[in-house]
Amino acid sequence: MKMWRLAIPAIIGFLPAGPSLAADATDWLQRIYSAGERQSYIGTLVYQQGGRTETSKIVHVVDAGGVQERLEVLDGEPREIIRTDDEVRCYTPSTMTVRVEKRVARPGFPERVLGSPKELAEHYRIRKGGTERIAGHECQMIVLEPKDDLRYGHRLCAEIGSGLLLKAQTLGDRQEVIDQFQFADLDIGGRVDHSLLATRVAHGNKPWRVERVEIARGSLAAHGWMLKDLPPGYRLYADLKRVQSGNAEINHVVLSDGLAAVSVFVEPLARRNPPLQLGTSRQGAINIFVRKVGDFAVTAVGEAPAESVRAIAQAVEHRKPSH
Amino acid sequence: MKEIEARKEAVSAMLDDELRARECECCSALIKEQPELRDAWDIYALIGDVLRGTPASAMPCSFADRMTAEPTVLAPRALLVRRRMKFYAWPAAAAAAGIGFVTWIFLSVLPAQNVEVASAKRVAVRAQATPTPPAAGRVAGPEIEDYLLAHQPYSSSPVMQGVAPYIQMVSDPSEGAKQ
Repeated sequence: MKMWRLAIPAIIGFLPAGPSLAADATDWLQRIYSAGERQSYIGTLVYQQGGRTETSKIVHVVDAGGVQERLEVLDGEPREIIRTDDEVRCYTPSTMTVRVEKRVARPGFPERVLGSPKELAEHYRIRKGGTERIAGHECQMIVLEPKDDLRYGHRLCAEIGSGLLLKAQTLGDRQEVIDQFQFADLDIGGRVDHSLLATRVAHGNKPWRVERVEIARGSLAAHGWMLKDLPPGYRLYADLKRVQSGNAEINHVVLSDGLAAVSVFVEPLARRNPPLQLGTSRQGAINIFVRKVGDFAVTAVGEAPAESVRAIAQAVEHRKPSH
Repeated sequence: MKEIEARKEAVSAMLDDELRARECECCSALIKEQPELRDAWDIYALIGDVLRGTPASAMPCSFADRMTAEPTVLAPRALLVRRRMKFYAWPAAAAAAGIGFVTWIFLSVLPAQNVEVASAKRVAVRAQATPTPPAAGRVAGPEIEDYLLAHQPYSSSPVMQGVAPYIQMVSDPSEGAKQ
């Protein structure tokens, strides 16, 4: 017993001296957002939503060529997504289709929204939770609690060294988990063989149907549209146009509160085939609202409560273009 | 209690061809009569199949019920903690380890499972909470897929680096069917 008491000061001496890096929860958030730009990694990611589970393999390479990554869905319908700084290719083997989205005028990387600490603090209470061990990595939990019911909460677990997210949960207003990403295994850093970035699904002699989309800076206003009475906190973040081969343009704007993002698409209703279904619907954790304005379909999609998505769709108004 | 235990031991021994013929007959009769022993037979047979590498075609009902009653986890360790083995009166650790092992292996021999997932022992996912679906709403069909894809780069969900959010929009064919 005496020996134990003597040992205590020695033990304390060995303990880590307290968080010297990124003590502030908001600093952690910044680290998390930029971690993917700094680190290469390979891992197996498990996505859970509504009782279904989807496992994917991710290869992420950061080098002089920029950021490149490949994701391959391992369960159910095969699918592969390969992404570089200015292009995303989505392969769907079941239909032998590859959708290529190319950014013409680069909005920049990363596109994911992260507002300033001040903006985030307006709508979320951000705090550090405890530490957790996930897939063999020590992680810091960061909790984002919404200040109203117009947005979802989040619980994030970031690897202490790199800031890479090992687990992320979207939370509803009853603290229920709406969806969850978690790495089952993750190897961080080191040189990743570029051959791992090559497609695994698109080989053989059969031709793939290619659908091309170009994304450039757009202007909702120039097309006679405006945003009125957006729900509190949501502001215009991106204004783009999507040009599909042979088709006219689609307006795509992104509304955000600094974290949550809702996209709104405006295009002629007649062009949609199969036709869109009006009203509320969902796809997993994403809520959707479609409404008809004149001959146009206004569609809002995003990871926000259904009511917010609906209100954002309603905020899009058509005004007579001035000639 | 002790009698049941002894009989279950006998069931196990029978499966392993350790019983003599007459004991087998006696045991078989008992198995037919008693549901507990029938279930035990099924479980042992399942374990045997799996260990021999012959994919088991059916899980015994009670086993399947108990599986679905648990949250969806693949980690033997998690099952070790959660399984209540009162039904079989096995020593707790051995029983849980056995069932946990079976569960893990069973799931990995299912044809749909990718070999990578099955072989990577490191893929032991402990879901801290079972995600629940949003309260209401019709499930959108494939007509909306291009919009979902276009939204992904901006998806907050949440903050998951790079391509990870693209997983969200991979629609489950069965989800579209059950409106």
